[in-house]
Amino acid sequence: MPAPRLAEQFADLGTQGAAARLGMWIFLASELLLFAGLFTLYGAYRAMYPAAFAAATTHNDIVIGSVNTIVLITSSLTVAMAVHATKTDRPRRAASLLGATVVLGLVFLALKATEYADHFRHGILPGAAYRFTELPEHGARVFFTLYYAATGLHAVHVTAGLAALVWLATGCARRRYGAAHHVPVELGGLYWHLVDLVWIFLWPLLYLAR
Amino acid sequence: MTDQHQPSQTPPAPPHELGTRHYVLVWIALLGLTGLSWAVSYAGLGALDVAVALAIATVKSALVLLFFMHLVHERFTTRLVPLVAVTLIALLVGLTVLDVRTRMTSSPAPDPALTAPAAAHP
Repeated sequence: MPAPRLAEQFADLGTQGAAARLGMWIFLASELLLFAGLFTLYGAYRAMYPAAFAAATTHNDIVIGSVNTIVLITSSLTVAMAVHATKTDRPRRAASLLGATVVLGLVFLALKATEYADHFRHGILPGAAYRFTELPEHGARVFFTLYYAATGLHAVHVTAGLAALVWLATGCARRRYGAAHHVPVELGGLYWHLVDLVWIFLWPLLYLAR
Repeated sequence: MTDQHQPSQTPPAPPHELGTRHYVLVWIALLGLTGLSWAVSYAGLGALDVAVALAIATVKSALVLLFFMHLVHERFTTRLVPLVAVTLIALLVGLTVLDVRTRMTSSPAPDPALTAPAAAHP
């Protein structure tokens, strides 16, 4: 496999890898702040409409939400093991583990799609399109609009993460990555863990806080 | 001019004290905390619901950050980045919620979507 090119400003590849990870962490921090805006809106509106938020939460399917939580946590395990396999020079094993991560991510998106479809059938739509007759109050409309904004933005990140993981899995299968060249797989793994981290907070706020 | 070409030998693999066993243990802990969070949500804690759920979520995220994302092995300057982000988020969300909760303004206008006549709660 081709070893990474050592850029002029770094003393060695170890330092270069650390710099790459630092850059990735800065990007992840910016992504966290992006979701923080939505979490802040949730906090503010929950304080304004506590009863409506609690009532609206019961209309989210806790089984699907919890299964999705387990799916993403497990996908974090598989991607962590894939990074480890790359570092210990087992790129084929890494490719399989990355493939498993992608499958889990697709399961997550499929379950999300069924949730959305069920919501649409009941008239639970975001913003002005909201027509859920069982909970007409404004607070419920705000809750579900936030639900779509947060889970929709999260799903976009999941999709982008899956694209990156597919690319990395292909690279591992072609032995482009290995012990001597593992930083790209590390960075892809870090991004996927962020997707899991955001969901770890979305799940209790959108499904459990009844 | 410094050498820009590939190094003459493959660099030593970075220390990876975390192995498969550690990852699986963290995964089991995460699943356990998920189950705990699910169970506690049925305990009917009322106002504490969100606080407890967020506390458990914080512990789970710490496990992911430290072990899956290797923050235990990163240098301090790298750890500083998520630390600053988390601090900013805590301030942002915390103070915004405090702001809303401590507003002593007049009650909101009756919700027009509800057909029942408004029972005013000043």
